[in-house]
Amino acid sequence: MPYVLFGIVISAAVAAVESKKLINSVIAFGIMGLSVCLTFIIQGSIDLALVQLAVETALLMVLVKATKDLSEPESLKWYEIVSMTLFIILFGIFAGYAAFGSPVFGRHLKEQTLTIVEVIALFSIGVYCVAIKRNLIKIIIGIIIMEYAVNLFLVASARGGDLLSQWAALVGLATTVVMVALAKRLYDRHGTLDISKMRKLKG
Amino acid sequence: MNLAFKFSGFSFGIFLAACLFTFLIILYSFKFMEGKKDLWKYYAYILITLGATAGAVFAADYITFLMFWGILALTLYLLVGSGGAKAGAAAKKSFVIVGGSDALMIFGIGLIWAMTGSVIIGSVKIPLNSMFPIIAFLSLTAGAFAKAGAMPFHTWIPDSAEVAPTTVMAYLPAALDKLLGIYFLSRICLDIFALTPNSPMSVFLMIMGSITIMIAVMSALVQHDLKKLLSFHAVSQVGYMILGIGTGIPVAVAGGIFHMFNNAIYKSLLFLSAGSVEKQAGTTDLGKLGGLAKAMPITFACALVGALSISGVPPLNGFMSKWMIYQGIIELSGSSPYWIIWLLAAMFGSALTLASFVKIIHATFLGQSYDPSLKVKESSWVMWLPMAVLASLCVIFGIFAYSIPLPYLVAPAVYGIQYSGAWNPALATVLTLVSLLIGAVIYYALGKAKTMSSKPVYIGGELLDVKEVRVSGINFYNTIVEAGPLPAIYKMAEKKIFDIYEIGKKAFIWASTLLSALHDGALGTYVSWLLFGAAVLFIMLVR
Repeated sequence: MPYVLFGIVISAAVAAVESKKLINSVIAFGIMGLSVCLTFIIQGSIDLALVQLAVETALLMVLVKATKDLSEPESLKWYEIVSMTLFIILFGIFAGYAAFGSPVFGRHLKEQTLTIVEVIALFSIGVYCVAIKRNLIKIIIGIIIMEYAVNLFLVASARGGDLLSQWAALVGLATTVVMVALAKRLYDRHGTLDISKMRKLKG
Repeated sequence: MNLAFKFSGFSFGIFLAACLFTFLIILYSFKFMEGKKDLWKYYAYILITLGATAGAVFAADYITFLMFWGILALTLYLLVGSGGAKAGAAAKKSFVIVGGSDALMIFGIGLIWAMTGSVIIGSVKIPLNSMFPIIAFLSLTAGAFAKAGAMPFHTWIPDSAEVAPTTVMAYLPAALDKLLGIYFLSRICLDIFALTPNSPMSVFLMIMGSITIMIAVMSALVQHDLKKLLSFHAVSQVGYMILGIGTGIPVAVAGGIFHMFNNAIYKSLLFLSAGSVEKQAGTTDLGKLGGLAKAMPITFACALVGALSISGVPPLNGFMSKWMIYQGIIELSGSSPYWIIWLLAAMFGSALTLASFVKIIHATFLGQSYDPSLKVKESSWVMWLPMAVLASLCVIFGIFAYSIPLPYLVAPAVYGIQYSGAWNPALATVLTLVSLLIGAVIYYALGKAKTMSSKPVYIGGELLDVKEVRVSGINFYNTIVEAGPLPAIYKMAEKKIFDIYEIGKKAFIWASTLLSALHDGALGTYVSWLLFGAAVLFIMLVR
């Protein structure tokens, strides 16, 4: 069961980041979020799973409402790819060291290799999304994926972690709503969600 | 944090001089600054400056010293800025140059701390024989140069002279900043580092001194504004002090320090005279002044004493200190073939100083007046009393040099002064006075004084306007401006090409356009930089 869930979460996250149509990626994001809820239940954090379910539903509504279906031109720059790859590799190594070398807060991280791999993979996908994607809604999705990874790590690492994660999930909902509102304002102002066309900061 | 102070005879002399100047300038300001706005701030800044000066000269460790030195940069900015809205740019320039050199000083002090492990000033004498001591020496020297106004950090003084109140010029760049800058330079050369004659750093200091003397005095020759002309002399005279201290010969070092006291006295006096003229005649433009000697006899007498003193005419104090510097340079003649260059620069600079003061005295006090209908009166006693005190100090320091200033003010700073030249000021004074007396007797006895008469000038029956025929003096040295390659250089100087502040500004703007090219405004770029930084952080943490 955990392996199946692991597969669903990772592939749904990849689909959410990579699908061409924005509405598809929002749907994939929904699947991912609900799978993460199931993972929480398996981990034994029922309260967090409930909170996550409510937050996920609200998020989906907000994102579907915000979705403007746009084909996005992608032009990757070399330094983006280089620094992102470098970051993900080093982050993996560092997170591995940290997870297996840190003191025990109540649960042994050494027994949860699968969860740690899942956390690292999810976080890397989120970073990739934020660094590479040009569409604001996708960037927001990438940030939420990273947030899920953090919640998952907190739950896996400590017994009290789920209480903290409930707060984190709620705060994440609030920040996502603010981000979507900002994206809406930017869309009204620039007529596009493509961030490579918003160049007011150019020096 | 502890403030550490140390009392020494030299520091006390500086502090005493600073107190005297503060008292005289404040007395003078009662009348000069009358009716200006926000005077309470002005007086407060002056008193804060005095306090910080005391702190800086008595400081025993570098931290205390730097703190008071920083306060002095701030009060300089505030005082120059008290000249009104148009003084803002000059105040900023002063602050940037003096503050920027403070940063260099902090760097140099850091090096010294790393080398000796102590922040006590002069705890260990560092020999100047390897790279780090030399870098530290140059950094500290930059701070002293900027404060005293030596080239290439001098440009804030002429700029401030145009806009700042004249009392501020007389107080800070002319008196206190000279005292502090040269005090620090002499501490650097005497206590902190071991400066030996003919070492590379000694030659470097002498080159800087000679350049400062010559270039500043050449710039001064062609100025049209009384205050600006004086400010270039304030720069030029620093060259003598640096030259004297740079030789490393005790008598010349003592001469440099004595010149610092003398310069503070006569330069302050000259600025105060300029302020008196400005207050009474309403302008400092040399083309619009003239013939003030009869209307303002006391100001004229004081300015004349100052002018003769700065030009090094015996028996006044300026001669005495320059004479000591010459002696030191001539002592170098046994060991270095270049001594003739320093001597020529010093003597030629002195001659050009006299030339430009001939111009000032003629254009301001002698000649015909620009506007005879304007009735100019002598300034009130509140203003001429400080000038008279300073003028009499000029005379006393010259005539009684060996008995008053040298043993009490200069000797505590330098060990082993040996006077080699024969010069008896008292006898020379008597002889000078006698010869002057004989000259006056001959002049008046033969009745030449009565034969001069002035007649109105006519051309074709038309009475000419005085303004058109009078000789104002501002064009005395135009032949110099037009000689050889000098016109091009003067034009470039006019455009501020040699100004270190302008060069720095250009370099800064160039660097910032380079950096702003990195901002392409795309989120992806910024995220890439963030990720790159985080990756570097990971490497450092895992390693």
